[in-house]
Amino acid sequence: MDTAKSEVLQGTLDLMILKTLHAMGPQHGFGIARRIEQISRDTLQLNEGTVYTSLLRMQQQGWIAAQWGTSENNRKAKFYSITKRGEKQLEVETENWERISGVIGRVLRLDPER
Amino acid sequence: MSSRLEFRLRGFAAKFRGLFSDRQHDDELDAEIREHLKMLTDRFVAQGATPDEAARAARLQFGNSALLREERRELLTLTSVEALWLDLRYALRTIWRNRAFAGIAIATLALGIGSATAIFSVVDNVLLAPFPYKDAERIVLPRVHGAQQAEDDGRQGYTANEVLEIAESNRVFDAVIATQEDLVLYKHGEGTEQFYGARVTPGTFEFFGMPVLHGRLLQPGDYESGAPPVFVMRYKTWKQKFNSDLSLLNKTFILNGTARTLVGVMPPRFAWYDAEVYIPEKLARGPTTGPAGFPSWFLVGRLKPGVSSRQAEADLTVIAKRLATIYPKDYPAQFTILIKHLGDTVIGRFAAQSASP
Repeated sequence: MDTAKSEVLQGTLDLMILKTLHAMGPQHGFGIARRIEQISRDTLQLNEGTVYTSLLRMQQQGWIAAQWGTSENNRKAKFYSITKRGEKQLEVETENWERISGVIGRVLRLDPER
Repeated sequence: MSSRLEFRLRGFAAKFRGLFSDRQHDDELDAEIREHLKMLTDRFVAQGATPDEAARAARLQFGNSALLREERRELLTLTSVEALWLDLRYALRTIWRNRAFAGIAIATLALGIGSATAIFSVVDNVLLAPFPYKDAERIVLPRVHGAQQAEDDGRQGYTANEVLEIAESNRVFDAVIATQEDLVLYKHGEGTEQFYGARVTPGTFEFFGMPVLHGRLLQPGDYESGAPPVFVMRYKTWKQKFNSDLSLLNKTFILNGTARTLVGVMPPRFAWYDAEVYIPEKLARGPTTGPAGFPSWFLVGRLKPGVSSRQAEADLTVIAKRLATIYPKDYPAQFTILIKHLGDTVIGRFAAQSASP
């Protein structure tokens, strides 16, 4: 297995999925997994099953909605789409993420004092 | 609302809904997983893997689907059995550690709830509605109280002559009735049974003012001598001894050798004299010797509105003094008539105490 692959950081999968749905419109679980794979350019190791746990959790929070539909190869599939409340949540989480990653970035750039 | 709280509340609401729709969701998830694996497999096959390799790779990439189901169940389950069990054990341990305190708390609660319930039942039956009868608070029982007798003592039975005299001469009662115990032998195909019966005088059912449950009440004509013999039954007896059999109405029973027709069944709360059957009887003046002269009629009157107990006692005493001159054997040398309210026969001294300022 490629050692360069990183684990998905706890709590970031929700954000990635929300953003994916926001950017691409309704998707089924397989589509979401493909999109994340594509964006991460294979640097992320994702257990694709965890996507479904995240989807359920966000459904419970009312951030996304699910509907059965037909996939591009004519199979029955559940399509998830982002809700209004999800859009708001996406904004909050994005800001949050940027703040935290900014802090971490600054911490990592610290040079030893001489 | 804090977003943390909101998050938990929504999670809780979803779990609650999950209580009702879990099955269907499970099937849906299984279908989703199957589809996903199939598409992954197809993709690996398209990249040149053998079907077996592709399926294995797909499962690897998808991850542990059993774990997934478990996580899912946790999201959907309100409280896991384990958590409940832990809570319960914790509660029991705590109680055990504070045995004395817990014991006192439990006993206090038990006594409090129990006594409140008991007191209310008593108050309801005894003080609020002891009798289901019309104007029950004005129903009184006069007794001949000898000067030498204890306060509560006195003769409550009267002869037929006395009953008629009091009924006709008094100025304090709306109505007067009398009841006599009558042990009734009921003869039927399989043998003989005894009823605790009551002979009742005209107007008895009107006096208590309760409607009949089935059939009809005794009517004035039923009391006349020569009228077809009839009787009325108490609800409890009808239910327990006759299985609430409605077809018994207008059937004939052999009571004390007389064929009597059952014309009515009284409602459950009618239990006058605690009798099982009520047989009409019209009193007539007659001999004062032998059984007829025995003071066996229990007299009950209903005070006219506004008449006090004192007034009633004074009026009745005058009548009784006159009777005493005719039947001196039946009266003590010194006596007055005292009356007791029907309700007081149940609450007794408690009423006397609670009523005194």
